[in-house]
Amino acid sequence: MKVTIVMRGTLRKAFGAEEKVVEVPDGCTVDEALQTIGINYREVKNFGFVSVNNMRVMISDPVNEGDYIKAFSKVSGG
Amino acid sequence: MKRLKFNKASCIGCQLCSQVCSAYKEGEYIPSKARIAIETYYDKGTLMYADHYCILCGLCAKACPCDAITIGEYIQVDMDLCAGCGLCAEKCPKKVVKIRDDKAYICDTCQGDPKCVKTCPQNALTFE
Amino acid sequence: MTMLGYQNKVLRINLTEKKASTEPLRMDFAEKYVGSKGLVIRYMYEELQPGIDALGPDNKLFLTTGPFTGTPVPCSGKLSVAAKSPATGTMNDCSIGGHAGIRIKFAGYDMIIFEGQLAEPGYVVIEDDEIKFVDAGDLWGKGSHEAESILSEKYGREFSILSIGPAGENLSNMACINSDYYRQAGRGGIGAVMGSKKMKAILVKGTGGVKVPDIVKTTDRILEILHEDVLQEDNTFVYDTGTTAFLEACNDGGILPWKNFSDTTDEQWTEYNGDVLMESREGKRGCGSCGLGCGNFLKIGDAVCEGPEYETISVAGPNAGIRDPYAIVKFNQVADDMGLDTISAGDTIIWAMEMTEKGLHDFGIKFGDGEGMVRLLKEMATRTGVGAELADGVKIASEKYGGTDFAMQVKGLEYPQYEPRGSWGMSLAYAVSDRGACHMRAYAPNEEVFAASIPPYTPEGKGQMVYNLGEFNAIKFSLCICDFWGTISYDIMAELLTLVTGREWTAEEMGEVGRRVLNIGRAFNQREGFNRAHDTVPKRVIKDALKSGPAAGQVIPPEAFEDMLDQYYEVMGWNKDGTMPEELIQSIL
Repeated sequence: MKVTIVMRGTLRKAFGAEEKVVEVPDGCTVDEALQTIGINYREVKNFGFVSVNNMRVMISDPVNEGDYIKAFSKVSGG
Repeated sequence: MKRLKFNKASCIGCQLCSQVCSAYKEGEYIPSKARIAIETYYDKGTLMYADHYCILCGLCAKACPCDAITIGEYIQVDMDLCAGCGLCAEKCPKKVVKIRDDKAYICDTCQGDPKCVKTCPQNALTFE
Repeated sequence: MTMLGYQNKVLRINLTEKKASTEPLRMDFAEKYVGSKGLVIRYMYEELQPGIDALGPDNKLFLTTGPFTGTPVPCSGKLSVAAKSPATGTMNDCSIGGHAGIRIKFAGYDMIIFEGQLAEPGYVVIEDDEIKFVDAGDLWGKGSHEAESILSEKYGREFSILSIGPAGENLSNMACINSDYYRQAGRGGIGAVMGSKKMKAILVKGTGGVKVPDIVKTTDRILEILHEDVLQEDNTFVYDTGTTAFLEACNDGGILPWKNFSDTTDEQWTEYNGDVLMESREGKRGCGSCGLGCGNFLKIGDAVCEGPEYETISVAGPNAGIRDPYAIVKFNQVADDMGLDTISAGDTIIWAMEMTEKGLHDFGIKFGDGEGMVRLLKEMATRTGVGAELADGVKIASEKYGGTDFAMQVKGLEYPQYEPRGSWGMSLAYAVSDRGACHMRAYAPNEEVFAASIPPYTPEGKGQMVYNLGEFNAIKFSLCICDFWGTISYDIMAELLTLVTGREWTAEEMGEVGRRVLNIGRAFNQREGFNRAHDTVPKRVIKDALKSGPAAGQVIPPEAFEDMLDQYYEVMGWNKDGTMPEELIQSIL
């Protein structure tokens, strides 16, 4: 199935600002979907969180056909 | 000859340049004695820049009646010759020469390796 | 005893007698509390008698620097401004940016304490060791921006100026103190304390310096840390977008409040997000000793501000049912000029909007009314019209008119813009914060929302989490380091503090100081009668489930909230009723 992946914040500098439409295995998790474009969140120091269709999810949650996945860098301060 | 250059669009007005300058030149963090003074401020709703830094124009050397100031790759002040008359400071177009205790203190670009440039966090100061 | 890095000197100004004197800094306090936040709370514990009127002559206004102030330690330009709060009755320390802190240090002081009250409105001019008391004349009544502009013209820009607007003069519980036009000590009515002293402004100029043991070694290392740690990807978003970056993260995270916290998320958030606002950016500005430069100076039409910061975007935007960037910036500008805290004033107005829409009381304003918000700010600051009913904040207004269930406050301090039903730990952080609902004591979303694998909707582990965040911020702010240096560690703090003071500090001791700071704030409040009964959560958060966004369906069950409180007290070593054992208090003094 196809999903769209986009980086936010400073992750754009590291992994590109453009939207990527990628083919991922049916029933895969957000984590696995990110790994198809070479991003292992455990190894990215300033990795924050992910949202699917503009809603925060856990990285272990499943994705569906056509989902829009955003990966955010960390933010600090308030 | 390399000179300090200032790009105000990048400056955030942090004044780290003058703190670090005074550290290496005066042995304490004392911007009032630094050889560079760059700041930003608001005036009537506009963001303004005050950039006092040496551009190596040489007007100080020309103004000096004691021949205390020489310019090679950088400025040197012979403190034995300097009478502290202040003519150099008067002529300085960037208002960066400081007269203190009858002596003139002028930027020597850290003898060609300016610490302020190494400090500037936004690369607003360059040496080229 | 003296220590390098400090000036070892306190300036005490008695406004009643118009006299100034100096005394040594209490180094026994500095050894335990370092500087800035921690040091000032210890001083307040010592000097402010329990039960004093926060707006009376017995309250004092403290301006406190730290050992890093005036050095090139990055992000160390902040100044602690503190007093007992008229809004909460707790102790209240605020942090203000700009250049005032550095100038106080260069004038030769670690701390300035203002005591008593002027008989007539005036301002105080501090130029190194010269102190002048000047009549305010027609400055009194003017907006903070105009006052600063007039004073700057008169005295020159070597002076930093702290000033209040009409809200501070009229003793509003939401009054702030401004400096460098666009920086604020915002919360808890700190501006009203200054107003009660009839001090329109404080001017400071300093020509002295700060000494450290080995200046070359110290400066070399500071520059390494600046370029290797501060100026890295994790932190540089601060320059690129500042806190506007939080809008998208909070929206997707399910913690961006909507219409007085009745719900979260706004599908049309892109209409007023950072990308839109940055198109109007005219320049960048940071505080003294910064490095990162968060300030976005921008203009939209006749609306001007440095910001708007996330808090203001939220409270004058989606939380007010507004999507117009101009209205948000205008709100920011007028609140600053009137001397009102945008968070508290905004929360109070959006509560009034809900009250009006629900027909509970007509405050003449409904959601979406940007012009009305600006009108109300002016009325609140001057205590005229409808604004007179709202000038002391949402707690007092709701006690009079009803609507306490959706009056979003703790201890009389209004909620910052992070919806706790989407970040359960935040409800605890707001509840146990020593000055009422504050997001700077423990910023829970960083751990449980802006993180890929931590569940936000559970009380489990939240006591320890909020404690860890609180301990870290408490020492960080006691070093007067800005929150935006997100990558700073206890190791870096200890290394820098050792370099600057010459006394050996360990990373472990940093945590110990942080814990002590959390405890001394609590001890101050306990003396004022605070306990578990005051560590509250607004009813809305425990009664009504959210309807939209990723946290849809979430409500914090009351027992989950109480569970988190229990956990936190246990971690702190406090009693179940939220009080501190006497021996714990004695051990931190």
